[in-house]
Amino acid sequence: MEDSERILIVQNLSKRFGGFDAVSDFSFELKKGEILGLVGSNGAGKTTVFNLITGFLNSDQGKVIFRGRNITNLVQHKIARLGLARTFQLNRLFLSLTVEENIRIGCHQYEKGGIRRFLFGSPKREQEELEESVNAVLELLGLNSQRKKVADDFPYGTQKLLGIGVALGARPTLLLLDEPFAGMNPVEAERCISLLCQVLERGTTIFIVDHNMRAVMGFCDRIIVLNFGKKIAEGRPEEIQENPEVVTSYLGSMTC
Amino acid sequence: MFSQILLNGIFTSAIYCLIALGLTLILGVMDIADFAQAGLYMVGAFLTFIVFEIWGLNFLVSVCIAIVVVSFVGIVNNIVVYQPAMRRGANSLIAALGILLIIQNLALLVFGADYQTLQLPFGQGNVQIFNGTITLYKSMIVLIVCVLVPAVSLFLKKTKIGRAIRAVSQNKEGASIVGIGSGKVSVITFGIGSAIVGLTGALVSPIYAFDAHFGSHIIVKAFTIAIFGGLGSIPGTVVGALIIGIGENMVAGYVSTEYSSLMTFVLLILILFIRPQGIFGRKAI
Amino acid sequence: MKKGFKKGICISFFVIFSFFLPLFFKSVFIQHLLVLIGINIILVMALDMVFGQTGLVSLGHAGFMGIGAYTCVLLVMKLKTPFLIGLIGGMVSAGLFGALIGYPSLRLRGHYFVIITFICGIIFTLLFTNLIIITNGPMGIPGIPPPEIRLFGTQPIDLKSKINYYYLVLIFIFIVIYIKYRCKNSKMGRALLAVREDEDLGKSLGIHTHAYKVGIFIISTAFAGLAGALYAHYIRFIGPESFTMLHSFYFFVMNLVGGCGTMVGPIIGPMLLTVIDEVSQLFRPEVARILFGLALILMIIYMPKGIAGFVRQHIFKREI
Repeated sequence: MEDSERILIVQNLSKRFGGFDAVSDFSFELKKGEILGLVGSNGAGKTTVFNLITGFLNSDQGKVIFRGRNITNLVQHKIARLGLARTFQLNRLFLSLTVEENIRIGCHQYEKGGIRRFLFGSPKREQEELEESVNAVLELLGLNSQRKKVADDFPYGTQKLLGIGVALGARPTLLLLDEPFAGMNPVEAERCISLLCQVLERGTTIFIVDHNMRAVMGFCDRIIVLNFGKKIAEGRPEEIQENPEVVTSYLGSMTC
Repeated sequence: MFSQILLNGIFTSAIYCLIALGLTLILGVMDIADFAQAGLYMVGAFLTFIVFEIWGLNFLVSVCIAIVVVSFVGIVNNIVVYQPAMRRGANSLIAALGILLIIQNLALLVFGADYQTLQLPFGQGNVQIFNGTITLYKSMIVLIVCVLVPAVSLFLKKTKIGRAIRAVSQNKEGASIVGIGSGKVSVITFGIGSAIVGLTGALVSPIYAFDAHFGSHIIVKAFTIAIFGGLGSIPGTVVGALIIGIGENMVAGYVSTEYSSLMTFVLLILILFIRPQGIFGRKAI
Repeated sequence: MKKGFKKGICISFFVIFSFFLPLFFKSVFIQHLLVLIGINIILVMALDMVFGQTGLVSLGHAGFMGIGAYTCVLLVMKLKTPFLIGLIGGMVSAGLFGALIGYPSLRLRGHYFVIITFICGIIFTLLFTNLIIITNGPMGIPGIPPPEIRLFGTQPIDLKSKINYYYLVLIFIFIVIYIKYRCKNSKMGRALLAVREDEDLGKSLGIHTHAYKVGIFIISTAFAGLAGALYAHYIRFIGPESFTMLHSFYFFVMNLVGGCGTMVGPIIGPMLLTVIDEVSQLFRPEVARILFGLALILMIIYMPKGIAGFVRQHIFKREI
């Protein structure tokens, strides 16, 4: 893979909690524009990997390089400003705010600040640009008609969709999704998949974590399997399905 | 002089330790910053005053009455104010200060602004340890603390109720799944914590002059100790109390009294920067 | 009627009303009340920036008021600077202390910020009492002159008059209201909203939450300093007992009772509670404090959004 194509390089990432190795010596590379899936049973360390990459946890060892920059143990907001956005396993939203307010906060880093704008407000043109960004995301989500509705009033699946929308407001080059389909009914999952397809078309790279292999199989270009913090397989979905170690480690936790 | 300062320090540590014990239980277990305990401390002293000095009953009986009444007030606070406030997600520190305001001003209305004192009921004699002296009464208090602290520790480890308290402090939801209601545990913890504070107030009433604002300063010290030692940790409270109690007396004796309080605050800021969970604390910040 | 138009009329009414208010009352006592209310409004507005808007509990604001007061007084009385320079000096020094305390402590979880501001409030009182060389200790500083402000002519305005002082305070209230409005409706306002609702989510979206928290805290403490300077030159005596924990607590109750996070709340709260407090000083002040304590507890449990929030939700049936 050419260097410029490697949007995310993770090398020997490790994290220990007390005596427990949550993630051991984890390495992989993400190509620009692909969809990578990270699967593993509950407790395998998937969310920990996310937290390590996005600055929510400090790693004990290892390196994370994003678009050629070393972001290891960098602070969350700086990582986000470099173009890396994420969602959360237990969906996080500004629940008491409306849909459009949520997305507007998502677009925060692109709003211009400074003392003059603080005291006298931004010029109309900039305000309109901000609203256009918000509208664009609302269109993508299909929530334009419900923009003034409070986020808490939506069913959980739609809230998760909105969560992705808020992350999209940050215009990420790499989007990390933590169990996006969990808690969605089939209709909502369809909507989510079509949203993600559109996101891909615009050139965003996607990294998905899920514990349901089947949900992720048909969707990802490549899959990495994690078991007890260690990578046990990596490859295309068909290759993974044949892998004996994967089959053994999943006996009992695979959904049929 | 050193022995005298040390003895004074040990006595101060004993008092701080008792109050901090009640606080660390409540703060560590229920996550409630109960500054109202300052008022309970004062009530303990005033009650002893009324029962012993005015009604003329036996001192021991007065102390017992003080403990019971203060414990009762603490429980009422918990049920009427803290539990509803916590359910609404309000900040318990604010509620506590509200209660404190009420208690202190009720005391002002009833007793006026003057300081009260009590006669030492017994133990006027002195004990000589190395080069310092300490009254028998104060020694008794130190001994009580030395017995009470391990007793509370054992209580938490060995009894059913004690284990329930520890369960709730570590994981409220998990505890309720197993059938341990956090409401009940809350009440019991408050009862015990308040009783300890009431006991302390009662015991020190013959030593210090007290007024309605008695306890305002000591509560800040006690909180500092609880945070310093680590919330919910009894060994931490003891260590913290010793460091701060003896430290303060050292500074007061060798430097000047004005700076002794400053030392406590500096220690607090330091521990918050270096190790926010306290020396023996386990909860992450 | 368009919503904006309605709002404009309300605001104009309020402005005109506040200009003519003191002229209705001949009683000096009521004029005195109005000035005090005005000063408290500035302070509670400042507190609301940090508490109502951003969700940070600060129990040390009276201390910052004191810093502003002492700085201004010392500049005017010892260094003979003009009043407005002293005022700005007070704001700057209060803001600096705000930066000093806010920068490290706003990194910690909210629980600890409260305790730190609480303790700092106590430390400030200790400093005012013990640094006798600067602050004159427990004796305080008496004989503070009324502000000397010359407009166009050479005659200074008579600011011993309570009505004139009211207008002075009113001008600053408008300034604070404007800044507060800007804090809410700007890029900073949205960042603070994120801080209050879900700080980690905000961080994951690229918001440098720590910087915004420190920023609003500095603005808030600076305005507390402004209130302190105005207070000092009105009462014309300050001492360590003027800026205690109890005062911090009062302002907090005023904010809570009035309604946090609103524009009207910090006006209603001080109005109501300053009147109660001053009136009860004539009888038994302890009663006022008991009422304050009760009000606080009842508010937390039954009306967490304060009077303004309650009215909005139940009478106007609007979401906050």
